[in-house]
Amino acid sequence: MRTLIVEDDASLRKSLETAIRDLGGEPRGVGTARQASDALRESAPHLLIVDISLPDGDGLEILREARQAAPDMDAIVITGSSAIDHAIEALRAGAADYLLKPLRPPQLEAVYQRVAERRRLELELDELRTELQETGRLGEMVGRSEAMQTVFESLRKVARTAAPVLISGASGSGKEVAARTIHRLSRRAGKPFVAFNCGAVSPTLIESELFGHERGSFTGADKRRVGYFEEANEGTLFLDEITEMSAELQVRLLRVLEEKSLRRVGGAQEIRVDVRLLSATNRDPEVAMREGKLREDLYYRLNVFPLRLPALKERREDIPILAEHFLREIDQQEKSGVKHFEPAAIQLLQARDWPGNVRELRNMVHRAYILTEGDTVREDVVRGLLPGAADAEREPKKAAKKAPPAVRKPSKPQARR
Amino acid sequence: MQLENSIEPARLRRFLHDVSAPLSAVALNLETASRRAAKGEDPSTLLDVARRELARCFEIFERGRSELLGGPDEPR
Repeated sequence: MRTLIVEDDASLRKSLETAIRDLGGEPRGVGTARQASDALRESAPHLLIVDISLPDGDGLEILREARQAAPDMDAIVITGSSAIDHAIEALRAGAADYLLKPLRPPQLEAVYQRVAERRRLELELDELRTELQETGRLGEMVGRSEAMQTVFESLRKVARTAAPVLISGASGSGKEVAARTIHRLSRRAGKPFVAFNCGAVSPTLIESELFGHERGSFTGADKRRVGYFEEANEGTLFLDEITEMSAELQVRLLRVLEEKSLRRVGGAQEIRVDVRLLSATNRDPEVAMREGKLREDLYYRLNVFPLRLPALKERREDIPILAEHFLREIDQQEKSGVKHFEPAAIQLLQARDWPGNVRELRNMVHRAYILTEGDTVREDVVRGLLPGAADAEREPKKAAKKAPPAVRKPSKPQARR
Repeated sequence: MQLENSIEPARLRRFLHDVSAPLSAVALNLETASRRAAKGEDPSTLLDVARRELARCFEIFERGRSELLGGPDEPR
């Protein structure tokens, strides 16, 4: 990160340059307001570190001038005064933070890393926005339909916050992919993402899987185990099928979310955890609450920001781009050189309702890929694979013979990182 | 309290301002030296700078003590 340091004390300036270089930055130091103006024009820094008090001017004026010319530039103000007015003025002028002299290296490092991390995320976000405009994608999510544009917009906004998100949508609609995308676009992107399916584990085991256990806490607990909450510390925990969790465990989950600390099963020690929780359900969350599947207090805690993913039949116009996307993805793995669909094959895919949603479409594309000879998936191959379509007029026997047994994707592992 | 009230705030602010720059330099150079030493690099240049800046702190401190407290009317 190109960093301009404006500090009149030559020795402190040099020391700051050395420290910033050690933190991975590219520093340039100047000692006066006039030199700062020149340097801002010449080097277009990403970060400005400026002392308020300079021999020939006011550091805040330099900051205002710099932010006017480059609104994206970050700034850290250094001040020798602990007066709150200075801090407020610095923040109003656009500083990301301010540091009080004498400078403490851990504070400088923390502020610098925070700015660097935000910059990295904003660059990634810009890349993703461009990607979205060009290809109809946001991270691993694909779609140009209006419904998906709305989802992308909500997702981008909520990703930058710490708010819990409750994702709802039919099975296979991409809830975990949406959760991963939120994590990837969030400030926690460099930290762990842990996904756990509450419906895939027996209710008696969920507690120890989530919160961990101490050795000897129950039969078979022959060693201490750290739970997924602790594994996701500083990162994101995604709980799928949240309504499958017992009411008793929902109370415990609520307590952890409120107190930001937990006790392992059989443990006495409170362990602090800093986790952003994303949860998902394939039920209507309000109906689940009314039916007693989801506690009301937990519902309100999880549902700070609801995100509903549309079923594939609600966005049929995305089927061509999704099918092409999956074909490319599969070809990268399998390398058989199948690159295209016949237009009629795509039309067949678009006509179907896809009760298994995006996951089912992907499996179908994979099967068609396996059966295709040459570089183009033909209409008859797709017709043979679609339930009911095998009885249709064109080459029913051939298609039925070619179709492999319906293979479901293997059940998801309990936790994925 | 009597001692604090007798010092002119402007002179005290000046003293704190003057001493904060070399104090910051000492802290930054020691931190960077420690980081480099941990990586097996030679930290001696940084330690020399820290030592020099510490001497500057002492000099400013002595001067400040004399200016702030050493006048004929100041309590000792």
